[in-house]
Amino acid sequence: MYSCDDIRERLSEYVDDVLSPEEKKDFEKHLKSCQACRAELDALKCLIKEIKQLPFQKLPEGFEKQLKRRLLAEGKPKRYRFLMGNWKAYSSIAAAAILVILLRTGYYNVFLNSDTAYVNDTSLVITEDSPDEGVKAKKEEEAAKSLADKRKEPDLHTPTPTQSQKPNKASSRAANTNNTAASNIQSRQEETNQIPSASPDFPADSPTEKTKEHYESQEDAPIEPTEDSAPNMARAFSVEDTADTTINALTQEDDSVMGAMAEPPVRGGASPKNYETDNNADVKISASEIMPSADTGYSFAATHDHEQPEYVSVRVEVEDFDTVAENLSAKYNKRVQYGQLILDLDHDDFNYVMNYLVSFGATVTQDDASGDLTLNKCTIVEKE
Amino acid sequence: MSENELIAKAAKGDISAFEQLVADYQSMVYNIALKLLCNTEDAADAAQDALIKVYRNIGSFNGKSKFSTWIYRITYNTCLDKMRKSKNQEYELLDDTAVDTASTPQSALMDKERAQIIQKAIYSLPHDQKTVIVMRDIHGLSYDEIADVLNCSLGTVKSRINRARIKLREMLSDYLEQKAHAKRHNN
Repeated sequence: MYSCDDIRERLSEYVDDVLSPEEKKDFEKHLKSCQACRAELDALKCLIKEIKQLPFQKLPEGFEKQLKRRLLAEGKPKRYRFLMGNWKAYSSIAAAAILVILLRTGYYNVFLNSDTAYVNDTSLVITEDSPDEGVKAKKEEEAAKSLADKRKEPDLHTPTPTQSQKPNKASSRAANTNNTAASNIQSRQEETNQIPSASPDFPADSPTEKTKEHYESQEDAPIEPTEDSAPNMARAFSVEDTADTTINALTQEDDSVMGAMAEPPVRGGASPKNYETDNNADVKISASEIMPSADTGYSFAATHDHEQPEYVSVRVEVEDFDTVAENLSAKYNKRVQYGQLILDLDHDDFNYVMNYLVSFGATVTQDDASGDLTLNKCTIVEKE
Repeated sequence: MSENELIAKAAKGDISAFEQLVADYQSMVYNIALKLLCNTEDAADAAQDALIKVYRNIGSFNGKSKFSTWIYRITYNTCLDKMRKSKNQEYELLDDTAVDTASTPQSALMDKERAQIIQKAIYSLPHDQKTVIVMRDIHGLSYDEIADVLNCSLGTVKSRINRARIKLREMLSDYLEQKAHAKRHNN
């Protein structure tokens, strides 16, 4: 049974009809017998009515014209090709793209011989049709050229003109047809291989017991930024329990030619333990983020590690830190310390927070604290 | 054309589709800004900025929440930003040309006075309470939608609304009593 204090504390919930049926019943029982609370209720209803009657103000004169002027000066909206909230899809793409970059630049070798290595803020695809596209295109061209130069190093690459798979061999191939770039990385792992497969998924979604996975992307056209894209992306990245690992990354942009991808470099030195053969595609690519960034449309970070971390640790730079901090610190009961807000989040919350941060121009980089985490660690700071 | 079709067109840069899409929301955006910023000039600026942000990022709208809630969230964040930047905490009472509800000069005066009393009380609420009152009682958002916009828990929304209304009742007690008295007298 409710006391008068209980009733008054939750009277708004009663007026707004958000109480459970049982609570409502108890409320009404109390109200029937308590005149003071009934008077409170009437007063509250009167107040709400008064507020509701406040007039809406007309738009100021010239508002629409000014908006039109500003819209015309804007150019086209940003294009969001990756759907926030679909971690499996875009972390797969990120993984595939990182692998492509590594293989093409010859850094594959480095990763195989070190415990941890990082690739941060790698621009994945530039998709915006924004006014500064010319500059971006030029940057891309330069980057492509620089990569192409690196590919020429003969000791790192051996062309493999086939996609056929052989046991214990990893082969890679990229098609560069006009403006479409594709890469296929196929590998086969032994059943006894102790290392988890190259799944970029979060553990919650990841079939961790599987060492064989199949990722496939078959999109030919840029993804339209509509709600319908989510299921498409989900379909595009199917996970099957097959004996081969295929990562097929297609970048569909007219102006983002990846060029032919080189063969993975031959690994020098002794093989790390747990790897049965030299050519297995045994680089672990862990969860990656693709978030809109003020400059490139998307920035993207990934970790390559021999141990796939259960959780990730990321640093997120946001434009409006105070607002973000105010909202998230209240929600997760954390305080800002030394200009940063650190949140420990399970996968759902992590996903939610990342989605939320998108609207604050979030740039995400992954850091190296992934080893002993028991939850995803998200460090939020003001963008410089 | 449906809202989804307009969104898809706007995302491709169709400005007239975008204008059509936000035609019904412009007033809402401006009025949210007005209530939160308490200043017509700042409110117009914030509303423009919010609508431009909506346009820039329309491709990221994924349909998880209602389009109106999404716009609301962007507007709210834009206003927060503006509030932080602007040190001027003084509010101006709205000029009479903007109010367009009255049918007679006398009722116009009464409406204006009443609106000013209530608006003044709302403006003087702490920011978090003012926000929930604007969202719930002026714009009619549900508790879930408010939690979504503010990115906080439902429990937080409930307690903020309750605290805000209690505070408003205290501030407006004289006015409400007068109203109640007048009502009893008329009866």
